[in-house]
Amino acid sequence: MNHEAEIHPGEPASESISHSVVTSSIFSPIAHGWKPGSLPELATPGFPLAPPFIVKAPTCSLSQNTEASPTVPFGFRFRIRKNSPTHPVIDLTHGFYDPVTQVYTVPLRTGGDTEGDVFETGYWTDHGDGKNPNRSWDTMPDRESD
Amino acid sequence: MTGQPMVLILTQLLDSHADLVIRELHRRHVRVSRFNTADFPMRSTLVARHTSCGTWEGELRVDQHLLSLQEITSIWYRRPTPFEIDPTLPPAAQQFAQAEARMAIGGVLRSLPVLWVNHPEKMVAADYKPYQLKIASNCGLQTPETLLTNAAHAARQFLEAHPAGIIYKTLSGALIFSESGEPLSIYTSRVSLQDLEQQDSIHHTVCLFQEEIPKELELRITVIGKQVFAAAIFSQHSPRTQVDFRQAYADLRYGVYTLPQVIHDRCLALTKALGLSFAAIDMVLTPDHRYVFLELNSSGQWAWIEQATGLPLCETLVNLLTETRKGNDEHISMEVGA
Repeated sequence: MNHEAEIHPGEPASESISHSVVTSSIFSPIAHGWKPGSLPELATPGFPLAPPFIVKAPTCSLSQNTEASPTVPFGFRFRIRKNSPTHPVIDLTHGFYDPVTQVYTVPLRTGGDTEGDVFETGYWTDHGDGKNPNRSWDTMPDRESD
Repeated sequence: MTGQPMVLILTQLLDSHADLVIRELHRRHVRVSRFNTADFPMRSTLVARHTSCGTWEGELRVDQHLLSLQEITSIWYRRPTPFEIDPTLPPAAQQFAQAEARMAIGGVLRSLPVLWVNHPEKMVAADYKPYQLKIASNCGLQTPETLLTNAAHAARQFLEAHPAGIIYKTLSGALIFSESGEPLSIYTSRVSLQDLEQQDSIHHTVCLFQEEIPKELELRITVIGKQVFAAAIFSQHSPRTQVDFRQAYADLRYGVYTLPQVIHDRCLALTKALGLSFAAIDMVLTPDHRYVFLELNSSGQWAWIEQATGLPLCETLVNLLTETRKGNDEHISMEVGA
């Protein structure tokens, strides 16, 4: 999988991420201005990051409803609240940090709904010294993946 | 017409499958245009003329991109969404504008002598599960015993007739939206006698019940043109994925599977019988080595299968889209006087 972009310290992520999209609108837009939550705590260099937020695990809050009201169709008794990301998301659970290049790399992933599992669509990269974040990572709930 | 392939992709703004195909087309230096149908008419314009030669010619402009209709050689009908009409128009006017746009653009594209992957009319028919089951049977594929009913007594009788168990599955897709707009999924589920005691809920609409097929493993078979790719999906080790593997993709394991030639040929026959160039077929291999057809999706996702197994699905799809022949067999336009 090719690296989508490299982000230099101090540069807004959106300017670099969209390099493959700027010249043409033929590709799906990557979520501009998307920033993950607070800088992930590193386990050890090279190993997956401990994410401050992750692709939300599906919540099965409804599951099978044996008390289904007779006022809804039969199939509704099996309904489950299932998160369905439709846009590329940053999945820090699969990211890694290279201490030699001091580059964080986390994959962009999409999918994971009733029609197929997630698959990688590219990479988000960021330079850092492995100790301190280069930027404040946006923790707005709407930045979290579904 | 230059004679070089020119691929039109009908899809929506966020479609990573389209991105994958476009990258491969770019790598091969093949011309490609992407039409996110929701861009019409607010961000795009159509100028099309019917000529004395009986052809439609013209252009579709989306932002600064210009698409010449007569240069299109294939159309990938991927995941187009409805046209977005000016929301400031009154609802009746929006509805009218939507219908006019659909008839115009749909009609012009259907008149082009191009290869469709897949043709939308064929997709509509193919997506009817009862029809799929019939055609699959005609092609020699085993299918589960199936009941369609909104009568509770019939459902109970079906359960009694299948002591190994029955399942419920939706006919129209697993995703619904609650009143608050949140997405809800209805996965294939086992049905108990207690479930069937709510007679009123069954009466509300038709329910699809099937005998539960024992699984050794599941198969996702992707047919692209004349090529058939089979991925094994190991789902039975996890309780979460035994009945419907979509419930927990993280629990699944995958492998490349070699189909028996007879099943390979029947999957091809099924896809052809439905008038499709692409199909994602779900089947089960039972512990006693029977191959049982479950369902087919004419616009099924495939990228996750490719990434899990290495099967060259994107490359094969692009090969199909860039074939130089024009038109599906049943859609080649007739010459005047022929």
